[in-house]
Amino acid sequence: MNTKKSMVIWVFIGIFIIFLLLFLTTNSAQAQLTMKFKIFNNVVKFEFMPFPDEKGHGVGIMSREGLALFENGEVGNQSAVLALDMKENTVKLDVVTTIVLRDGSSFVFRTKGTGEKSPDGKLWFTKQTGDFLRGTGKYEGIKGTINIVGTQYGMAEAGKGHWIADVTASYTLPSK
Amino acid sequence: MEQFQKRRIAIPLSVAILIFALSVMNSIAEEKKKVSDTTYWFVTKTEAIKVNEAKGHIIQISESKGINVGRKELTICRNIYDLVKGNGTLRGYTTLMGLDGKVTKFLKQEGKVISFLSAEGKPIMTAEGTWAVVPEHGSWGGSEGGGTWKLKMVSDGIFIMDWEGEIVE
Repeated sequence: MNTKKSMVIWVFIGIFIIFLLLFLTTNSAQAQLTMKFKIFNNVVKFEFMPFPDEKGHGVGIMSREGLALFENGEVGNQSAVLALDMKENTVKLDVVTTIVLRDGSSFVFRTKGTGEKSPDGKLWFTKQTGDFLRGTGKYEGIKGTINIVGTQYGMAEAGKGHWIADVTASYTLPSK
Repeated sequence: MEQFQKRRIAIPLSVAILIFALSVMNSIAEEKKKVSDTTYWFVTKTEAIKVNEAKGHIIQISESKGINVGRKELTICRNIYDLVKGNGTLRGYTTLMGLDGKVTKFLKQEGKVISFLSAEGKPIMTAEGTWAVVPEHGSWGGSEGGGTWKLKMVSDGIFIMDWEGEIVE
């Protein structure tokens, strides 16, 4: 009789623990969100210093400014600072990008990637991946990853070097 | 008779193998060369872009010229710095030349930068990191090596760097 009673108690305790765990995990899990937008920008400043081990090789820094156009119609100002290690037909990129939306919310992400010049030399195809660094306003506490695929049209000179990119971000926000 | 013939072949063959092995070992030992020196650098060009995401964050590119005082080599380096309030990372490339200006080596380097205020309140930049021979260069095909370096600013735009390592030629 006693054994039966204690078994029932243990079953209830087990069920209680399972419910508690389910409750905790449901509440702590943050919804994984997706954000898609396009960036359109051009070169503002470009400084390049050659390294003569091979033709066209050198290091450079660059700033770009433009717009971020979101799927939901929102528009933001976009700015980026790039560190470049360029060769004649390829480039390695390390980029910090800031996007400020019209409502004042903003987010910053850092991406690394590579670029490749088209055979005719007129385009640069770039691919970058990275993470969110921080956010403000409705993006306060943002965490997640970023994928960017872009194309630069023309030479990388101030006022030129137009770059159009598709950005896909997977992110979470802290629950309120 | 047969045994004598075998011996006639075996002895010179063993000697030849021994000589070959010793010469290979010797040449390997010769190839690894310890190197060290002190380089005096002065900054010749620098440009920075502010990164608005954080206060005091800049991406900077600098060209410095220098001299390896012991080895009597001229040097030019170009680095990209990623600094937040004077602290961060650097990476770049260095060209080594003889006193006639002829290029002798290409190196790449990376390191960490730490800045602090001197007793007089002046910002002092220090850095340390690693260097490696850029192996792709044609005339240096087969050359490799690398080591470490430590650098300290002595006054505005002037730096002293101690470095050491090994070069295999």
